[in-house]
Amino acid sequence: MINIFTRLIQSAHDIHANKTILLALIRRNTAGRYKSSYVGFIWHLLLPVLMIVVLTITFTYIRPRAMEDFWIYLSAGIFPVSFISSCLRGRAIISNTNYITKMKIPREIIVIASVITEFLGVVFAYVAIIIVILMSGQYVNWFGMAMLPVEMLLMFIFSLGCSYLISTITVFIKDVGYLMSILMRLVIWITPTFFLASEAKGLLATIVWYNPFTYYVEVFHDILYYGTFPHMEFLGMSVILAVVFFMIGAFVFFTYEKKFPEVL
Amino acid sequence: MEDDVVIKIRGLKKSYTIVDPSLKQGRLFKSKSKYPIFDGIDLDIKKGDIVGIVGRNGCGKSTFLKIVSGILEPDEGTVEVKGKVASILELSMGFHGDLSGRDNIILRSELYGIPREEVLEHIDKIVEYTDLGVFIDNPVRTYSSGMRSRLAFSVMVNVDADIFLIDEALSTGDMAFASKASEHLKNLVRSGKTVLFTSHSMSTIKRTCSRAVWISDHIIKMDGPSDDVVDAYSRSINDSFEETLNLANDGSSSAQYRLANFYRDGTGVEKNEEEWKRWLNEAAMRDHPIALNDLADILMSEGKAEEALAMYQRAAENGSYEARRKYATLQGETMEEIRELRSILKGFCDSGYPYDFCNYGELMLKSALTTEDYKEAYKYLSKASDMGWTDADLLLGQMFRDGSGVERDFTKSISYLSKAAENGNNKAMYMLGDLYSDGKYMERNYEEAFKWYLKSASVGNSRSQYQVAMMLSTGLGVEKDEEQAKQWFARYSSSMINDSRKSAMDTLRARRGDITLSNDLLKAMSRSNHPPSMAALAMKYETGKGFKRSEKAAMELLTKASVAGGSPRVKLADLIASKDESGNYPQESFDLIKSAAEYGDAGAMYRLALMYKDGKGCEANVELYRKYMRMAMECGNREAKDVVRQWDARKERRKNDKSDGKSKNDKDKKEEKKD
Repeated sequence: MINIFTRLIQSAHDIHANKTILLALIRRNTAGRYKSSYVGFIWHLLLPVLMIVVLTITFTYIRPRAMEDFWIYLSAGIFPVSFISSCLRGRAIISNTNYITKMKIPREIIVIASVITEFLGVVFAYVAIIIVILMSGQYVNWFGMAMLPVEMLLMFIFSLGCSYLISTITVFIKDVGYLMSILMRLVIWITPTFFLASEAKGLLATIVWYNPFTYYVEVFHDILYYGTFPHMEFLGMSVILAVVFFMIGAFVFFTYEKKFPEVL
Repeated sequence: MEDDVVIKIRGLKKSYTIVDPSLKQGRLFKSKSKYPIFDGIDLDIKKGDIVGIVGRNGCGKSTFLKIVSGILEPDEGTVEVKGKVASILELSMGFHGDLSGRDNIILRSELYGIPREEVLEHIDKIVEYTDLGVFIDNPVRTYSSGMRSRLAFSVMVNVDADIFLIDEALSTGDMAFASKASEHLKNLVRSGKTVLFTSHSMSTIKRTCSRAVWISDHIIKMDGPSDDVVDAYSRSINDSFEETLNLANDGSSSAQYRLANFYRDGTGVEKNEEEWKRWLNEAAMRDHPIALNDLADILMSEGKAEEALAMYQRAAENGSYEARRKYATLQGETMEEIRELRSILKGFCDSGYPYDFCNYGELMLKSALTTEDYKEAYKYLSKASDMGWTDADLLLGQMFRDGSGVERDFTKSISYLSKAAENGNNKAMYMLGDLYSDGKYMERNYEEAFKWYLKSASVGNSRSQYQVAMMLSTGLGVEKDEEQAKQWFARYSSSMINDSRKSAMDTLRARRGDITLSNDLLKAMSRSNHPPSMAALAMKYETGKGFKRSEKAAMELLTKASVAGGSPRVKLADLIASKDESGNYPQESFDLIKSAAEYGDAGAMYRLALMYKDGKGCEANVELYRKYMRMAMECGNREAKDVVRQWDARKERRKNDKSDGKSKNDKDKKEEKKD
């Protein structure tokens, strides 16, 4: 039984001592992505904008919804959901076996680097959305907007915890990885992204409110779409879920990480 | 931990969990068991060591490095490491294909924990070291594997650590870069760093490392100077059927040839002619000269002369001397001549003399085209050897050493060579020295090597004199002795000019020049242990010609000279006999003459024959008298020729007397014909 608190303090030291490696890993994950393309780094901003354009076209002309500015509602939800679900696929460790088996680096760095890489996607997307919101002259609640970084951080901690947990399990049971990537396709339909949470009835409503993603997404809806200060119950749940999942994930990860190089 | 020990391992045990096929396996869950990799390893590595780790695939070389680097944790035991460790476990791992070589250098360096600013400071130096030229700014996916490993190694050059662990180092990249890299490792060690690396290239390990560790059967099988460890390891690989099979499948032509021989001889596997030929073909396809030669032999014995000729040519082009000879023989159409000579020499064998057996055997060996020829050579040489013929022992020793026509067998080779060497054959002596000191085929034994080199050196072999001197001066196989080494160096350099001394002496004699000068030259030659000169000098001492008469000095010189060669033995025998006062002919003299005769000295044979006739030092024996007399004649002794001629004349007369003179045996008939 490891003492999770001392282990986490040690881990913080390790991460600090190896920040060069952490940055290098993040750079490796992002820098190469659009390296051989013509506009290069711009793709990071261009992609979410194009995504918003496509969704707007879809829900304005192909399947119109009787909702004002539905594209803001959509894009406020879709990017966090895709971020969390990519962290939950649990591929952080198994797709970086080389670093585990061949290099002596703190292994949590690899998970953190991959979560940060995905996180940067949400950040870029939100930067793009906010620019569009401001340009289109929508109403902005600045108190609510101030909560955005806090909620982003909570979501980051929650996803990191999930990633610790799932990527550890995936190392030992590969099937979990495949199962998760299927489940994550389902998540988009049980989280209020394409529909309003209040529209869900019966069984779906139960599932939606048992789904931890919902609370994070609802906070983002409050801030960006409704332009209000987020509901306290959603914020509270965000904090609780972040702490609980992070502690569980970290405990499982640090208990089993020593076995990684042997199993991989 | 002591001051200079940087890695200290005690009682290291480690096992992996593997799927065990011997247990009942479920569909969903596999039954697993523990597979030990290390079972108690103790090792100390000192600061400044450069250690090569060798072993078969899967023996745990990489695991060992991983444990030292801290990636894996031992199950039991302790691993203490002092200093910063840089583990470069796979040089070409983790490059980003889309990034340029330069960007990858930065990325890689950062992954080794070097801050970005520092990398940028040194980047030009690293880029220059890679020698990649314009390619450095192109994406790494366009690189060849050699270029990748050059890039990877160059990054390592900039890593600062106390201990470097490198897996499969220097295995790719061209020769120039490999030597540059190996030079870098040596520099690291010189500056007080410690390097541990694994490699499958034995020559790299020999060249680069001072020390090597061989891991096998879960323990450290051997730990010591890299030359010794690598030799022992290579031998174990060459002798192991499984390992040879692996290497052969990987396309190593020499392994394929060895494997073919395993199938031919049935060592470690059942004999299988088809497999033998198949692997021989594989090796021949890769231009293995001996395989080509053997294959040509097979074609030859199948009567496909045309194809065999082409095959011999290929073997010859690839450097097989044997094939060159065979090709020349076939091409030059001298086979008829050789066959003729063979039948002549074979005819002589009817005499039953070892001399004839040996001559015929030697010819068969030298002119062998097929395995049958080798078998014939072996048959006759062993006959001669059984009768105590020294030259035959030497040739047999060579056959077993080279595996020509017989299965390679170093025990047999050594026993034959020892026999020849005991009888004073100088070539056999230094061949034994070479065998023991080479270490390629069997465990090195410098003591034995020194023993034989010394023997050979003391009867004047200059090559051995040099070896002895070197071994004495380095203390290899013998206690270090600078004084003695100096003497042997002097003898070596002196014997190099013996030929010129001889010419000088001849000239002096021809021109009736200064006798003292001539004697001085003789003395000098004798000092370098030249047996004929020693014998000649001894005779001068004995007769008092130009010297003060000294029987003691003569005796000493002859004893020394008689270790090699026949005629000094005869002279020594005479000297002993002349000093004997009991009136009986001394046994020692008889033995000396007999051994000289067996050594092949015609004069000794003649003397021995006379002794059998007169019963001097032995029982009189007419049979042996005749035998040795004929042998002496055949070896060119003039007195013996006269005697035999008289016999023949007598026989002729008797034949004329008796018209039905058919009573003679076939042997005599043949000799008459020859005359």
